[in-house]
Amino acid sequence: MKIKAKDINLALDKLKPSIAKRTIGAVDSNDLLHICKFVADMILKRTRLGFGVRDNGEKREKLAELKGRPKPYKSTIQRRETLKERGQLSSETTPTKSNLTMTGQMLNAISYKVKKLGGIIFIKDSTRKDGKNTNKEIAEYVSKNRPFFHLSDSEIRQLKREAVKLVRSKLKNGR
Amino acid sequence: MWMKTKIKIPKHLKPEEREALALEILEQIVDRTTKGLDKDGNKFPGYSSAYKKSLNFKIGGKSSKVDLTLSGDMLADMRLLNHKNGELVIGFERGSESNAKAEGNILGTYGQSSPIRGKQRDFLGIQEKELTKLLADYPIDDPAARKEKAQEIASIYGKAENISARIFLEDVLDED
Repeated sequence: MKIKAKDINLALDKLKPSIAKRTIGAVDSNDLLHICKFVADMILKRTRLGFGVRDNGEKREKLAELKGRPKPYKSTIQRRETLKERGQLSSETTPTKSNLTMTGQMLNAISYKVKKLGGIIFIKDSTRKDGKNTNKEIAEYVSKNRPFFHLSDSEIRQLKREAVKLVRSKLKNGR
Repeated sequence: MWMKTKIKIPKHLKPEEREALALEILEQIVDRTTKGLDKDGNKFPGYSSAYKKSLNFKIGGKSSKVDLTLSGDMLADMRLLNHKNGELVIGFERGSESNAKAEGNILGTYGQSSPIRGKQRDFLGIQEKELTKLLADYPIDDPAARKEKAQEIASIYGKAENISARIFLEDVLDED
């Protein structure tokens, strides 16, 4: 499940079209896009709810609390309160909620694409509004203490269940 | 409390047929629950106004339709726990987070020591008519049809496994 995106891109691009066609079978790129979106939404929602996952297949865990909680009441929380007063804190968090959301840019940069043999969910290396870092760089930084870009055991089951729904609908439609 | 339910099934079903039927029952329970109906086909009690105003409600993208799905983990974690001749046991891993969530919904406790009146949302079970419909594909007098049905279910889940195996997550922490 876990693989470096650049490696899989290279590997998938090098495959001969005939091999790719034979392996793909009845599942087309639209089907994989649908599943990729499902997975990306799942990671986004779980993280916004305040949970992370250390590695694929593990249980989800509450994200580490923000610095300055409960005492002394300062640093990160204080900064977020200031942002809220200025109307710059995302409406999908609060000053004290640890959910990797301040402006919302990093989690909104979760994206996906489909190559010949598979779908990849990744964080766009897009520059943030302040122009200082990219969203991917921020994701790398926060993942050290608050890992989130994995699928929990329950999420892998959800992924498989969504795939079952897809297979069933294709059978029903005779595809 | 350990959340599980016993489902009586015909004794002629072989182990692989029971497993296939269990997968279909689980799909049926999830499908019915996400439509907002309990195990008896009745509409779930509505969400409290406090929950509707909560940040989690907003983050979860929920509507007023009660579908017992916030992260989706609870329904995904429901599974076949055991089976024997004439019986399936469906439920949750004992002591798990999802078992606690299911207990809150089924008993209507939601973290309290006693149930909140009118808030029970018992989804764990299957109606007689739902089971009868599924069992029509496992006829008592046609072992070949039953075997074929079990193989069909195994094939669907096998294909789903193959699709899942083709989904990759980028490694955020590059160790190069």
